Amino acid sequence: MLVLAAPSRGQTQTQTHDRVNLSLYGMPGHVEMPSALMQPDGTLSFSSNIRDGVSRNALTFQISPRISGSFRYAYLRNFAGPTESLYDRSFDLRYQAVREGAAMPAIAVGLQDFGGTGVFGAEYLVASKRLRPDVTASAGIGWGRLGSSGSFRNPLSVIDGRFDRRPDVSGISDTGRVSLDRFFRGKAAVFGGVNWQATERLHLSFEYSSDAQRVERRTMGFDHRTPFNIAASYRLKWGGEIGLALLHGSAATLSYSFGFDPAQPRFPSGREAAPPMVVPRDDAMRQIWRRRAGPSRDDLVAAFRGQGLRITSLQRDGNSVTVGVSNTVWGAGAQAIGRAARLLTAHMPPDVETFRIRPTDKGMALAEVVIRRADMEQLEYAPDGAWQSYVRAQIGDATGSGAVMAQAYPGMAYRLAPYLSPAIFDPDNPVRADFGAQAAFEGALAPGVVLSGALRKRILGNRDQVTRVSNSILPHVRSDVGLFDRAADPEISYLTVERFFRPGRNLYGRATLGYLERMYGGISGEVLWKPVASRLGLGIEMNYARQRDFDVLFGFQDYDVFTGHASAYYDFGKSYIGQLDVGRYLAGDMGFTVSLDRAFGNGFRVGAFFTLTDAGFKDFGEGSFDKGIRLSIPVNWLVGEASRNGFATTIRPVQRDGGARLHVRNRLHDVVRDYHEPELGARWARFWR
Amino acid sequence: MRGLLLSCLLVLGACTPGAHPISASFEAAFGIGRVGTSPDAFAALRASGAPVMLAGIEKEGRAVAMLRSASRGGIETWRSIDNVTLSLRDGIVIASRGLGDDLLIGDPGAAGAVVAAAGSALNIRIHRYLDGTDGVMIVSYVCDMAPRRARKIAMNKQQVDTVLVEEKCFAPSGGFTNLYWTRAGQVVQSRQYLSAGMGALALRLSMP
Repeated sequence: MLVLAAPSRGQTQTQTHDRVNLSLYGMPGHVEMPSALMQPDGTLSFSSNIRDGVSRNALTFQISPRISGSFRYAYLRNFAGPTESLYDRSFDLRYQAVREGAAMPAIAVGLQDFGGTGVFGAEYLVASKRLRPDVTASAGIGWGRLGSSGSFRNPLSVIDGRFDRRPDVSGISDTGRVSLDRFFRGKAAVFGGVNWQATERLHLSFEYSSDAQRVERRTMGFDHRTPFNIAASYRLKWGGEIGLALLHGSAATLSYSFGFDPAQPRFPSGREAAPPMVVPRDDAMRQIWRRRAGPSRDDLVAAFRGQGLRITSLQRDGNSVTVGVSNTVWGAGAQAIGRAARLLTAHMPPDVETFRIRPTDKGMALAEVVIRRADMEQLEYAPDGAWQSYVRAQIGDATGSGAVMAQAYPGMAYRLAPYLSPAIFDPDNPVRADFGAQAAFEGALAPGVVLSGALRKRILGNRDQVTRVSNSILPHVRSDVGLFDRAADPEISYLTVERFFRPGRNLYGRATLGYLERMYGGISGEVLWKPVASRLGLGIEMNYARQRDFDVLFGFQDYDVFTGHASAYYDFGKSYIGQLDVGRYLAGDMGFTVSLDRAFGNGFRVGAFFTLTDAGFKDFGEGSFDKGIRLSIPVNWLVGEASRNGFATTIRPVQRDGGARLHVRNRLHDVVRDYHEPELGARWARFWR
Repeated sequence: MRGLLLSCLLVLGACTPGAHPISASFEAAFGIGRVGTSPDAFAALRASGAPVMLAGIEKEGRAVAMLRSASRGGIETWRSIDNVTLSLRDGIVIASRGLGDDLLIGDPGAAGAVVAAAGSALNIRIHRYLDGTDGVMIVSYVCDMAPRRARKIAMNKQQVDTVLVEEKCFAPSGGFTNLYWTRAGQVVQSRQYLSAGMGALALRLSMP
């Protein structure tokens, strides 16, 4: 059973959680040195700073109360040689092993730049204690970059002599690998820092740094005058912070950061219009209803349409009515079901006692929610109505299709919208983007048969100016993106016929034919097993894909491949969702992908993934293997209005050809998820919204 | 506040709150559904002579005319032209919809009876809110209720005798004070706390 009414998370009346200072690396810390502190769980923060020749930009996420992670993009001018600047992508991870107690300091262990080029590579063990409500002090020991100033023999060498030597980074092919053989090795050094929240808005940091800035001194002419760093930051009215730091007595750094909690959107209840009221059977409405010959189907359809719902099937059996409902606007499945149930109270004859509502998408009934009419009447204003209505609703698999609403087919929807398509991390120009217009259509020709397509026309952008050519030794299944960018305008982003069906109980099926995505066309088939109440879903997908011409219109190139995966999806609860895919990737390489997402109840998602295949680190090239982070922000979260749309982005340090998957639209788990447990129940309070 | 209420009364419906300041092109671009709003139904309600209440969000200093669209089982639901609703039981707000940080459902305990009787009591109030991740956040308040002296208030340019009842509520996360002006046991004007995001509402029945 789900916990619907979770204990109140930091009540919104008291939004004064302690501010945690971020270092210039973007993680909680002092100026550049880390601390053992954690940001409030779920906090997503962005930080950026710049000094002469160096810029660091980080996206940091408090993955769990004790684990934080960071992705950083840095620029170091002339770092690799007199004319060779470095654009560096790196990851940090920190674990708080001991929580702060009355006397006990918080203790954390961290890895800095553990999977990038190793430029910032360091490991550390740090303790932090709040000495006063406004003063926090830290002391720690560091290795790697954090063991380079005032260093001494590695204390861990007592355990094993191998800890004395820290192997060098061997070159570009070595990048991206998790450098297990370097962790906590080589010389060590101690560091320390103090943070002082001087006023409500002004924050000061002072530290003793154990970073000798060796490479910066050698190649960038950095002037390391003192191990001491100092910084001041000021909190702006709307929440962001600006700061100024002086590093090693010689380099002034300007910084900016902001953070927010995805669990606290600006409009927690949304600003959507109020729902229609429940109409009790003994109400005057019934009299009105009796005077007419019966409820008109058109009235019902119109009423549903007014709430952003489409009736796909309608059937009455005795005193129950089964209604297939397709939700076009509500982010939470429960909200669509609640509004449908409210409308049914107003439009169904008084002798109908049971509503069987079937949330339907792509012609598939994804679940059946059985609601007693009497419960609607009784619980509309019941103090514990959210919980009680959830307990009393029976939620199960929807078998059989019900009587199809002839009016629902064919149904066409068009949408003309702007698009923004960024391409980041090209060393020649780290931020490229195209902006343009996209015309998309989706037509339901018959139940479960969908014809859809999208045409894009660039208005402005610089993605077509890419000059880098792929040096990949694998088939160029993704790395030719520059060739696509240069040749494609306008482009047919996709054009497909899809068939969705229910092969049996708890089973869902999809077949897609056509131009599947920007770079590939072909045929794709998928079957998913996902009982409505199960946390586990299992799927199999098989595809034959052929690479499209660079102009992204109708033609194809020679490369083709059979690719497919077996996938397992599991909801761990507490908003964590895991996914494992095993199979054959686009370049013909075999391997697996591990993903972990944190899906906040409101639809905001933050996740990370990595893929290991038999293509091998060497053949993969820069980065060694495919990995990345992804973000998905619902429009509903941003503006509090009814919408099922959102902004999603995947950030990969580098996109190569190994471990690349086909991007097929409407993968089944994404289609069913909103109407299955545990998501349906977790957002059930929206039933009455 | 009073001036605003009056001007709203003069041009009924003209002072709709800017609760939906989103332009049509923005909606189209981001696929936002304008659902559930029915100005026609509001107009029909107005034509039928439904009772009017003026409602304002205190911190925003603006007010809107709301029409009573349903009255069932002791609960009155009032609706604005852009389909924001407030539900009241015995003059006490128990739910709102469409304001961004709504009261999902409030259980005011004995507040309604105490206000009607202009009595004194210690009362427990339980508010439920959506917590931002579509879970339910429950806040319990301990409230001190007591009558204040009789007041004359201006309604429709007339001075009306009312009894003022004050409700002071406390919770670990913060408190609020509600005020109810009653006439013959009926709340005709009030200031009631709604939520952390919206603050307090100012409500006044419009006398026929």
